[in-house]
Amino acid sequence: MKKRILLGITAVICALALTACGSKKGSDVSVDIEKLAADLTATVTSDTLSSVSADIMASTYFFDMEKVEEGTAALNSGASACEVAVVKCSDSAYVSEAENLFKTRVKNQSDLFADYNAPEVAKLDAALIESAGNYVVLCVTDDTKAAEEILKEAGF
Amino acid sequence: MEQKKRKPTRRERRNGLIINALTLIVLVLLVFEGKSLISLFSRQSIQEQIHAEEEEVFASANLLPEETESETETTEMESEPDTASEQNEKSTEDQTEDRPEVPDRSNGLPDGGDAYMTSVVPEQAAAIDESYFEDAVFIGDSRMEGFRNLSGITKGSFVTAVGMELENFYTDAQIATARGNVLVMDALKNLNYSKIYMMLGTNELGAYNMDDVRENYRKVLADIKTCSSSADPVVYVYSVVYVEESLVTTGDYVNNANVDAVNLEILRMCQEEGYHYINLNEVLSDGSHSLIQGASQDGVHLEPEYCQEWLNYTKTHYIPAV
Repeated sequence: MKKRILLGITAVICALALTACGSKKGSDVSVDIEKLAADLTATVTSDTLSSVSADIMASTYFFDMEKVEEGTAALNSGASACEVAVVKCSDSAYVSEAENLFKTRVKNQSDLFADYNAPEVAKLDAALIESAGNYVVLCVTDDTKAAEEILKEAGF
Repeated sequence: MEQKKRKPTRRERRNGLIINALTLIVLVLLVFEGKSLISLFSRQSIQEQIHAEEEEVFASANLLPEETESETETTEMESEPDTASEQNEKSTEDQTEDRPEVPDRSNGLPDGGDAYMTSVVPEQAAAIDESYFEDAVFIGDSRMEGFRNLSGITKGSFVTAVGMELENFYTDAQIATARGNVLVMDALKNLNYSKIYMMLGTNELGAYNMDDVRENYRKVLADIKTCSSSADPVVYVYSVVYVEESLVTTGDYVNNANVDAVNLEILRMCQEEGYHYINLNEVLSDGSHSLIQGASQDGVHLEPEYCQEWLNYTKTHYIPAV
């Protein structure tokens, strides 16, 4: 009897521990995307970012906007590579696609800035692309550590 | 006499098995959690490495441009020695003494630009709404990209890239797509447009003989017209906007004397080709051949309110349909 109880407890502990290891971070996260974008934008000091329309956002990142429940992006003046974008995908299946589109954006920008303004490439190399639940974030900033903290606070 | 080893009982064997199983589970958990800890630490160390490299890059970037700038200055600025800068200084001094409280922003044309007034787009009584831009393509460098991002414009196609210049127009894949960067001309092939708004020249300020700028610009525009969905597209060419020289860190050649020189060539090309010159410096100049102070953080790229002013100016400066 003792053995069965012991085995049962062990199985429960294992299940809980492994579930904790394997769960996607922040899967039940709820984010105020405008506030998060504003907080991340505040970490940019070398440029003035400004919110853009959904059309400009779509043509910048090539999102299928039908698969984006809500989104916001703050883009730069052309002086730097800094930018912030936060999207909530309408379907979890689109999350990895959104991450890939952000990665492509960073790659495209790195290729351009490498010839034009090399110091900006370091910012792009440190670009944050994070997801939690159906939310995906891109942040290219002057202060990556501060942005990481903000994302951590927000559940990413 | 050696004691005979006692054989474990069945119960002891079971207990041993359970202990072994528990030990195994603890080891598995340690491996999982250990991996997490390792990845956490290595991530931090990668970040530190990135920051260290970033600092190195910034440090070298602060040194190299000075060397390059001084070289460029000696090779490329010799053609127009000190006359232009002396004249500039003199006129700045004069204007500082006589400057009215509200700066004169009525012209913004380069010296000699009056000869090409027929190509300068006049102000219209009524502003167009943005539906006018539905069949327009805006092509240009990082300043045009800033206009796209910060002006609030809602219509029109944009083919813009940081670093776009006449020299790399045909050679560098620089227009972003979901599959990577493509050439400007390839990006244009997928668009329908009958109005062209063009802004290049800032990246040409130090790199070209000004006659070459004019001829290369002429060729680029002719090729862009061939991709148009209209047989006779309307071509608007924006002036190169002045810079705030004291803030510019990208090279001494990025100065307002060179902006005027490039704009004079663009004006001449517009007159010869029947293109329409949009004189943005009418509203973005401080009245003394320089960008309005505070209009730009880096002296070149415009802040949001000035991009909005650029948009408003575009809406009131157009060629009415006949």
